[in-house]
Amino acid sequence: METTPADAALLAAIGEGDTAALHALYERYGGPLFGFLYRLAGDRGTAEEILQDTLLAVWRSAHSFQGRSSPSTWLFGVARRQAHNRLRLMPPPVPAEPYELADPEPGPEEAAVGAERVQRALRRLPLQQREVLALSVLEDLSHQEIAEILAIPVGTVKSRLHHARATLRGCLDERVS
Amino acid sequence: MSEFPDLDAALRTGPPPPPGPAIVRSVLLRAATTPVELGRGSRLGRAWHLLLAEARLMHRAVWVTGAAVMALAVVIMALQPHSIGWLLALIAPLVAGASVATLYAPEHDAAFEVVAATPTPPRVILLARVLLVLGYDLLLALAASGLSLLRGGVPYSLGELIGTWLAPMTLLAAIGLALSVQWNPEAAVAVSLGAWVLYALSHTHLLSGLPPGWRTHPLTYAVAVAMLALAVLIEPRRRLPATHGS
Repeated sequence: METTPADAALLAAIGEGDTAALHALYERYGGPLFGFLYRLAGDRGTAEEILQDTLLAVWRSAHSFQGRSSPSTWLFGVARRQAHNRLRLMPPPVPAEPYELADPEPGPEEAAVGAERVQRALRRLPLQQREVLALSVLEDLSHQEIAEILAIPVGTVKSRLHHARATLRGCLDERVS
Repeated sequence: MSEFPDLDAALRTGPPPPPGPAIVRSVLLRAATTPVELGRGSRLGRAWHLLLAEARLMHRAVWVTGAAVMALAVVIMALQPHSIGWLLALIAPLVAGASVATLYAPEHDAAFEVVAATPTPPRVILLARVLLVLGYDLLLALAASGLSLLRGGVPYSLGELIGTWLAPMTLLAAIGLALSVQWNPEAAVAVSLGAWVLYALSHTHLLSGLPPGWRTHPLTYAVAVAMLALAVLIEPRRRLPATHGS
């Protein structure tokens, strides 16, 4: 998502305790942040809780934003940290066998790659691969931006992205066949 | 270009709409009614988790370079036993001075802003990093000292050998940290290196008039500890204002 100088001004205003600025920031970034967190958490309830944690962290620490990264990179970095804090305390989802989740007699519509099917397959990926995939595909962030958010080299972003897509493709093909 | 365009298209669909603006009001209420959390568990547990987290964040080169240089020193001492008396006294301070001088570099730290967004005070983070790096360098130097005595016939006890490097190591690390925090890491490395060269020359006839305090002496420890304490206590508050909003 493209950031503007107004985003940095919003963060500066939040840093000074301006509640209207927090509302404005949420209006602008609430959708992308929630989409990212939903893909990481796997369910709406947990994603909402992490979104609350993220907004609280933004409210309490916007003063430390110094513009070295773009506002969106900073926001996604904070969201990702909050997600890790909460998700590491939760037991990982049990990886289900493909046949357990597939319908007994899959029709042609099940053979297509559906959103729900993808979401369930996504939950079987390691968190590190899930976050790279979500940032790349959902938010259209460049490899460089993702590398900044996750504090990892660009090469690692590319390799995690490739493995995530290949694993996801494998999960889906396995279930369709 | 994605290798799996249909997969990407499916990923883009599906996320439900985000919660309404009421979530912002809930967050503001929560901020007003809950104190800043400093973590779960005992103080010792929190400190341990912080050290582990900082160890993961720090650049691997800090660990690898120190171990490689010290391993090289051990090999040289094994091949040339007469170097045991002075080689560690030169190498241990150099390793500690260089690694501590580079550990505080917000300008080059990709994770700095995200770390700054946590409730952990910056000076605690700095202290954790100093403990990690200095502790690691200390362990390396102790291990090298122990290994160099294994071959026998060395005219030093372990205590005497440690005495040759401990004070200059602590002082050089303190100089590196203080300059890094108050000035910048590049300057800190340069000055530390200059100080180390002076120290190295003091082992030769070229600069034999250097005060004995530079080597192992209670005053050296006192100056080093004071500089380390000042660096940790003074700096981070200057760049990072206090948390607000709770």
